[in-house]
Amino acid sequence: MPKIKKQLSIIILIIIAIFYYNFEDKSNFLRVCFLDIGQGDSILIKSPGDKNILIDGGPNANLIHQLGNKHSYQNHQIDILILTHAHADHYIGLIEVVKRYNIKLILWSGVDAYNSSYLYFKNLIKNQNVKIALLGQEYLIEPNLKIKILYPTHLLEEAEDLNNTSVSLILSYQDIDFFLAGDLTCEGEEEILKHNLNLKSEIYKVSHHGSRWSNCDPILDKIKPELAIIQSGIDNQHKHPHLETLERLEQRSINILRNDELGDIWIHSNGEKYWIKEP
Amino acid sequence: MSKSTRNFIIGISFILGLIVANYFGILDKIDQNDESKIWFYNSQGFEFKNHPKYTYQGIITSPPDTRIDHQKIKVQTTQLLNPTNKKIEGNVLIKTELYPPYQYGDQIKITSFLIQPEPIEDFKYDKYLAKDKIYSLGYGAQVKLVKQKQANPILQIIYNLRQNISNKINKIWPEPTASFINSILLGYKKAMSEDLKEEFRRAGVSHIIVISGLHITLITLLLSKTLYALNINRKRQLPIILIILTIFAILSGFSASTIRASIMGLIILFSQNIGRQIQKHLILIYAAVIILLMNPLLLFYDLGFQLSFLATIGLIYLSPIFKKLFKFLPKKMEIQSTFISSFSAIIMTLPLTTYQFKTISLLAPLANLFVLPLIPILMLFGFISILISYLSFTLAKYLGFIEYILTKVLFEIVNSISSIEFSNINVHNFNITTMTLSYILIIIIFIYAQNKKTT
Repeated sequence: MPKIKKQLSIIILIIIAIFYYNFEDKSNFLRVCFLDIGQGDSILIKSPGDKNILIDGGPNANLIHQLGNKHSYQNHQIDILILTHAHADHYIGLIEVVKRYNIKLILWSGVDAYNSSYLYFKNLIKNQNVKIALLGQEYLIEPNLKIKILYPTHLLEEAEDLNNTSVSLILSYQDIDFFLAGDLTCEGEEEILKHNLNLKSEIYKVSHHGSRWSNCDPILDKIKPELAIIQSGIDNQHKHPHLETLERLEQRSINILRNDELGDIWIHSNGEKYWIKEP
Repeated sequence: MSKSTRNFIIGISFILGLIVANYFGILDKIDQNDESKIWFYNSQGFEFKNHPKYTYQGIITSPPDTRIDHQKIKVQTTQLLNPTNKKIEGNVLIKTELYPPYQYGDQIKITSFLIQPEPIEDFKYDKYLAKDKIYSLGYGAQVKLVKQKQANPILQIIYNLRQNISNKINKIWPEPTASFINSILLGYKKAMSEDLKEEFRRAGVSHIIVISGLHITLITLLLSKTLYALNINRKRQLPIILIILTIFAILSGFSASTIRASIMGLIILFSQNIGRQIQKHLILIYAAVIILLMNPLLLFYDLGFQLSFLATIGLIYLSPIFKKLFKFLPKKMEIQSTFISSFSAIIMTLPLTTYQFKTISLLAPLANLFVLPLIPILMLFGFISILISYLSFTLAKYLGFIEYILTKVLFEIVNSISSIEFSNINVHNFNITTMTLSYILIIIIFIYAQNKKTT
């Protein structure tokens, strides 16, 4: 008798295992997660067809721990990884991701930093499929889901301020658009505006963690967002987000969500509407 | 007086002697302080802008301690380069950026402040470092690699293998499973995220993520059972177990703490097989004397050593008493023995942990009851999956799924226990006197129970 019990429990265990193995948080929605990784940027995008896009990695190795809980066991792939620019609060977390995940395409600004930490990252990705992002490029992820690059507007070489090399883009899922611009400053924003593009987006990732030197009036007037998300850490030394930025957003009655207050922020969309998903 | 009683008394006197010596500050005197020692150049305090920076060269003599946002590296210095060029010696613990990662045996050039270690509130950080012969901290360190492979070539091979295995673990399992397996198999205890470590601490099971005598005992018991099932008798088991334990000690970094853990684990093992009480006393004392001869400061400043020593005492002396008390527990699936072992270890370490962490985990015995039996299974499945990954990664990935589910179960248990509101109580006024009194109380109860047994 006890032997049968033992065998039965093993069989049940195996069935549960198989069930779990094939189980993934599948959903027909676009899911965009603004990760709470302290003072830095990191955005994970999961498409309705379960493709993964990761933009930036935050300032430390925390990202890898956070991604583990957001992927299923067998999913070890990032379809597009974007490094907006070569600052530590954007690339450090990507280092472990590059080491552990299969990455199909890496997009970056084309401008290097010169410190040993960054060069280590650069060396890790040298054999990967790496491409420089430029205005006009479009990446079709699924029939209705694409990434449109807005910045850099031309091939950049050296930069006085690396923030102004930030890859900026619109993630567009049918009627819903996300405007994501790394740490781009007002100078860079002007550059985008010169090209007279349609920038209208429902959701706006506030640039440079809410710095007053970014998020200037002209670009806000073109984007006309309904919802703004600020990725900044609690008690950060730059005092981000700046009061001026918050005022600019409030004047336009844009709703503000902050990672330092809410933790991870998930936004789901079916292409016609978007909603904030409570965890 | 019999020979064994004499040896026992000699051992005890040695330990008491150390306590007296430490009281008079004889043990932790800094050897010498002249220009040829790196700590001669130390600045005091943390007002960095007034301190000078030094440039020096040295060799990394133990694997760097990688945290979530920086690495701490123990460097054996050889040469001071700036402001003067001269031969120096002594260790520095430098703190630098997370990347690039440095390795055992790297010769590096460092520019940093040199700061005198100081106690941090109740924690004697200076003494804690002194036990590893570190008298200087290199803050704000900028590091440049000069040459690789400048230390012991055999250890170099071991550490490379260890790194290689760790990379495999990270590829097979997602987080937090990966860092958990890194902790229990390779001793990378700092790899886990702070949130998870806090959950383990609150549930009273954080000892399972540090390689300790407990690990060694669990592995040994599991091995012994497996070998028994394979019809290999006790006598022939011993060499096999010793070989496997050696491999494990090597893989987990071959650090002093792992070697100590192995010694402790073996004591528990022997003490369970050898019935005669007097020999148990002796083995424990011998082990303590051997370990303390290697480094007497461990007795005072190494929490890991103190805890595993106390836990071993608990397992040897207290568990026979608790056996009577918990007779009512079912013997099935080792529930009774697991509970008694962890309960004895917890009681014996409780005053010290309460003094150190100012908190008591009330549900620790319960959490241990669930969690402990999983550990050897997790170690075994983890080990097998890794071994197979060298043949076929795909196969290892499938096999690793069992491990993944089991760790999920473990995290779930730890999480639910740690989130119970009354699982932890804070005891802020538990000081050294209260701790000493608690131990005296334990001893009195022990003697009372002992007398009752004999009459």
